[in-house]
This record gives sequence, structure tokens and C-alpha cells, in this order.
Amino acid sequence: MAELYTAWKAAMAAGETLSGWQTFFVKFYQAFIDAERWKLYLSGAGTVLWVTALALVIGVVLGVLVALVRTAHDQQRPGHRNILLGVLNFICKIYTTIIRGTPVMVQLLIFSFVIFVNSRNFTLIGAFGLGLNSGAYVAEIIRGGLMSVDVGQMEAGRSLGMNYFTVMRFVIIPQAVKAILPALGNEFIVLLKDTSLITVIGGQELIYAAQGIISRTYEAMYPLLGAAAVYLVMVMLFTWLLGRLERSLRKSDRH
Amino acid sequence: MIDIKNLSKSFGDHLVLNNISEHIAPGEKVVVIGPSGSGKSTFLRCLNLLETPTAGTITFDGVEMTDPKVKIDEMRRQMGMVFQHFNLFPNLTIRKNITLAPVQTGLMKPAEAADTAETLLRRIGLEDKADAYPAQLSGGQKQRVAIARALAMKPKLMLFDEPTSALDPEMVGEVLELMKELAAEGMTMVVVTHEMGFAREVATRVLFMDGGVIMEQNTPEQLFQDPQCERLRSFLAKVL
Amino acid sequence: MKLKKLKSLLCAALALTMVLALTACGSSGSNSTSASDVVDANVTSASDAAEAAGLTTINEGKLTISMSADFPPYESLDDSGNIVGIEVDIMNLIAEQLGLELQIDDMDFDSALLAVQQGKSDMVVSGVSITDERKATMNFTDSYTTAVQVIVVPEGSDVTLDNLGDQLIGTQRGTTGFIYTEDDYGSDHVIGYDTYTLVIQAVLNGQVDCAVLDDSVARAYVAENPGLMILDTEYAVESYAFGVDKTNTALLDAVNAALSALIADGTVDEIISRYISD
Repeated sequence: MAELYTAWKAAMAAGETLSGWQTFFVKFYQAFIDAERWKLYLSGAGTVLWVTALALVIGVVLGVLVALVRTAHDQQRPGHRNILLGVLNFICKIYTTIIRGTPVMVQLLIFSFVIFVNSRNFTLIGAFGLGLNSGAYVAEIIRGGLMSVDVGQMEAGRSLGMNYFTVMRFVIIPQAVKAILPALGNEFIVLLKDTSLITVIGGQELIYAAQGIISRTYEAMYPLLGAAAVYLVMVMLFTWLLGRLERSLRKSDRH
Repeated sequence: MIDIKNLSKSFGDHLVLNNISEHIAPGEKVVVIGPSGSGKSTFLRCLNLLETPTAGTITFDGVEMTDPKVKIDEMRRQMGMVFQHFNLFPNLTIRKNITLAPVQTGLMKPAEAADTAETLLRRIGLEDKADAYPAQLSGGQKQRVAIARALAMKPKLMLFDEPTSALDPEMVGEVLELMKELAAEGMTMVVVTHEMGFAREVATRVLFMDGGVIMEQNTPEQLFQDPQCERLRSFLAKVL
Repeated sequence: MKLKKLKSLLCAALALTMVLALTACGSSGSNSTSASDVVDANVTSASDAAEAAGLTTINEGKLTISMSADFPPYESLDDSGNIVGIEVDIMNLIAEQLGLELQIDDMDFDSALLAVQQGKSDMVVSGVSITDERKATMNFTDSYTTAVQVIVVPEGSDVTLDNLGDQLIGTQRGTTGFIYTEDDYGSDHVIGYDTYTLVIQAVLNGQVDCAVLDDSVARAYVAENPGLMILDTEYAVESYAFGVDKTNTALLDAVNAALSALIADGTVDEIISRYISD
């Protein structure tokens, strides 16, 4: 194989016309096998996964906090406005407005080149940046989920003398989760694809690997198709897993 | 037991309750009737501050509940509420529906709460449903569980907000029966309902509300047989 | 200065159009003459635009070049967004001599290299260093200048050529600096950014220890950014040339002819010295 590749590659460089499948072989070999380049795609995919996971954890933690603050603020009894809650709500509003109002790419660039100027772990910065971004969207998903629970549930809980957070914890959130999970799964998949953006700040994920290979081989099609295929496989896998999770959740609904 | 002074409530520009003053004594069974939109549900919901009054005060057992410094959760523990749409917690079993509040508010230890739930369920004849979920119950059963849930907090006062309005006709009886039992045991009750039979049979006093005010009140015999104002007469003509 | 240049360009363009129009009339029916024949016969007089009309390019009558215009002083955007620089000036003159209208497509460096290979541009003009790998995908013109890859560090840094392997090196992805440093020190020591601007910003931030880039670009950026300096020891020396569509040897020959004329009469040197003072 390697000999064939070397021979045909040399022939190509000399300007000979190769048959279609020979060209395919050379380009494929060059993009994936030569110099063990497939390892670059694999490690890129690994990076995609852990960046996604980290960003998701950050996003969900942030999202839950923001959603709780904003829902709690909106559900205050009139005349019982809590000043601290008001300030927190204001901060959360600014956060979601800025994050949702600017492109992720710009946020990542600012995050890396303006805020975290002293860090050298660019992939990690990228994960933080994506997590911060995701938090704003997760917050809205969760807020929507909490709002989708009938107000009567909160009233019933409060009428029994339980405080707001107890009712949230035992009554509202467990019900909201069923509405939230599918949307959260979606967000997870968006996040997985958005990891490709961290390449602009030097985050070494799949697209960074593919572009590096393109730079060396001067051939874009196969590395790009390869990267796309890896993304596609990952997304399909997670879509399938999420589907299963949703089905099992629905089953527990039918008592 | 509960003292209402100059209670007003408006939603935006819409005045729903207009300067109501009323007193409810321990052991009273007060039934509130009136056409829809008369403000009777809002009146009831103001009593445990599910609706915040725009003006006026509500005093419960000598504590002014409308004072912002009052810990509202502690006040609400003493007054149970039953809703038109039951509002059971669908994510919890019947047993957990009943034990959640007593345990979480620190009123009972889990074991004690479980015993209470057992006793209450036996009383309403649903002990075999303890581990079922609300979705598996009929409307009448749900409302009886909702009453049991409120009773588990050992309240001094029970508020009923149209407890039978969302029920199929054949299930109304079982709920009313339970409420009558409660009344017979001496529970103080405020009931918003369209069940005139219940009012006649159980109420110690009937309030007729219209346009955000209490137009007329009397014992059920007097009120139904000898209505004074024209509004009440026409209302009774429609519902009786 | 600028205005004068523009005027003379306009005059040249006008003259060119007239000549072209004349040839178009005169040479009708002789289109079948192969392009390379025409050009081969005229290499010595490439300034004769009339003959060059026989060149085929991807857009008829235009010389389409791909470029990453973030590489001063070779090519960059001026304050009003025009693409200017050494290579732009040279290409303007070459296009003029070939009787073609110069069309510049600005893109990132990777794409600029790929464009010429995929037939999206006739030439890549972007401070391209000649390498063997690149030779496999495009034809190179004669080199018109040599460039030096230098190491840019913050002032007071203890980075040297000898301890470069212990540093984190910022480069522009796809450049020879990127490929060479990755080959020499491994990808763990090299970060590839999309543009030079980001590379320099990363050095300024201390996110990378140094940057490896072309000497003249480095000087331009260092001049604009106090606190940076260029190490005296060079990282590598390379030749700059233009990459030409591998299938278009006629164009290669024509450009080479025009370029050698410009080098011979000192025009290229004059242009370079206008941008690079010493």
C-alpha cells in the first residue's frame, strides 16, 4: 500500500494522469493513512468529546443558576421584592442578552485574546467559552421548562406552607425535567458541533487537525469530508442515545 | 379566627375586590356564592395570600398576615387549601403527595407522616392507592386525596375553591360527603361553591358576592328563602 | 504620490484597451492558435500586450489571483480597505503587460493555496515560499525575492533559536513557519492561528512564547507593536514566488517573462525598497 502510494504520488507530481481510482487512492491515503494521520482525526474527535462534555457541565450549572434566579425573581409576590434577587436577575439578564446577542466566534476570540490572556491551554479556554455561551441558552431552556409546569403546582405547594425552593425542588423541577431534557439534548448536539469553532483560538480539535492536514497536503476534500464524517457519526450516536433516554422517560410517565 | 379589614384587590385597572371587611369565627362554615367573575375565588385566595391584596389587612389568630415581616409559610401551614383542579403533584405517589409538606416543613418525622398518610387514606377509603400516581385516580379520588393532603398539615382552617366544579357529576357526591364529615368534626371552613344543596345543609353562614363586594349574607335558611336584594334573587332564580 | 500612480495606471489601462480592441478585430478567425505557441513566440516582448490576449485564464480577460491580505508589506489592507503591498504592485504591472485585468480574491492563506489548485484562481500571490510539497500542486514562477523566517519574541525574552524546542510557538496555519516548526518540534509546541494578527496578539498576551514568521511581515508588526523584538538569528531562509495553476503553463511562461523583465530593469527592487526601508 505504502509503496503504491509513494509511486503514484510521484507520478502525480510529475504530471502524469492517473485513473480515477488511483487518484482517489492517493488522496485518501494521503489524507488518512500517510504519516498516521488518522490518529490526528481520532485525537481531534476525543478533544471534541471532552470539550463538549466540559462545556455542557459548565453550561448546565450556569443555566440552572440563571434560570432559578430569573424564575424566582419573576415569581416574587408583588410588594415583596428582594433587592439581592433584583441585582442577580439584572446580572443574569445582561449575561443572556450579551451571549445570545453576539456570535460564538466573537465570544471565543474575546475570551481568549482579551480575558484569558495568560492561559495557554487554548482547548480548555475554548471549552470554558463554549460553556459560558451554552449557559445562556440552557438557562432559557430551563426557564421555559419551569414555566411550562402549571402554576397550580406552585400554588398547591405554597398553600401547604412549603417555601419556594422546597416546592421547586420536589415538585416543579422534577416535572420540568421531562420538558427540558429533549431540548437539552438538542443543545448538547449543537454544542458538539460548535466545538469546531475553538479552532480559531488555537483549540486543537477535529477541524484544527483537518486544517493542519490540508496545509500539508494541499488537498482539502478528503480531510474535510473525513472530519465531517466523524462529526456526523458522533451526532448520530448521541441522537440515538437521546432518543432512547426520551423513550424511557415517557414510559415512566404512563403509570 | 380570621379578620378581614378593608380588603381590596385589583388586577391592573380591574378592581376585583372592593373594600371588603368580614370576620370568620372558629367553627364557622362559611359558604361563598355568587356569579362567576364576582370575585369570590379571589377573595378566598387572598385569605392565604395566594393573591396579594392591593389594600387592607387580613389577621389570622391575632397575627396580621399582610404584614411583609410575617413568615407567610408558617401562616399557610395552619390553613389548608383545596383547589378546583386538585393540583396534586403528578410526579409523586399518593403517599408522597400527602407526606411531602409535613416532612419538608419539619412538622413531622417521615415515619410519623407516613402513619398520618395511612390514617387519612384509610379514612377516605383509598389506602390501596398509596403507591399509585395521581394520573391513575379518578377525579373524585384525586380531590379526596387533595383534601387529605391539606388535612395532613393539621390546619385550623380549610379553604375550598370550587372543589367540585371540575368533577364529573357522579363524583361530586363523594367529595361533598367528605367535606360534610369535616364540617361535622368542627373544622372551620370557607367554601366557594356552586353547590347550593351543600350550602343549605352545611353552612352556618352564606355570603353572596357580586361585583367585588359582599352584597348580602345570612344563615342559609334566611338567605335562600328570603333574599333581600334583587341581584341575589335573580342569581338564585338561575341556580336553584 | 498615490494620485499620480493612479493616473498613470489609468492611462496605461486606456491605451491597453485600445490596443486590445484593435487586436480583437485583427485576429478574428485565428483563435485556434494554441495559447502556448503565441506566448512562446513572444516571451522576449511580453510588454506587447496585444499578443498576450491569447492567454486563457479562468475568467476571460482577467487574471484572477488568490491572496491572504494580512501579510504586510507584501499584501495587506490599507486604512480605506484597499489591498496594497509589494506583490500587489508587481502583479499590477504583470497583469498590465499581459493585457489582463487584475482580479484579487482575498481569503485566508490555506484557501488561497487551495484556490489555485482547484482552478478557482489563476495564481496564488501571497508571499508563497517555494517548497517541494507545494511544487506538487502548482507551478512556481521564478523567485523574485528571498525571505527569511524569523523569531518574534517579547522584549527581554530568553527564547533563542537553540531553545526554540522548549517553547510554545505561534504561527499562521498553512505557512511554511507552521509546517517547519511542527516538523521540527512537534504539534504540541506549535499553535496555528488563522491570521498573523492573532499570532502577534498571542505573543503580546504571552499566550505563546514566540512567533515564527516572515522577516518583512515580522518587521511591520514589530514596528506597530512596542514590546516585541526580532531575534538576530534566522529560523530559515526561503524564496518567494508566485504559484500558478499547474494546467496553465502558458500563463506561467508569460508571467515569468514579464517578471524577469521587471527584475532586470530594477522595477521589483524599486518596489520592494519603497515598502522596506533598509
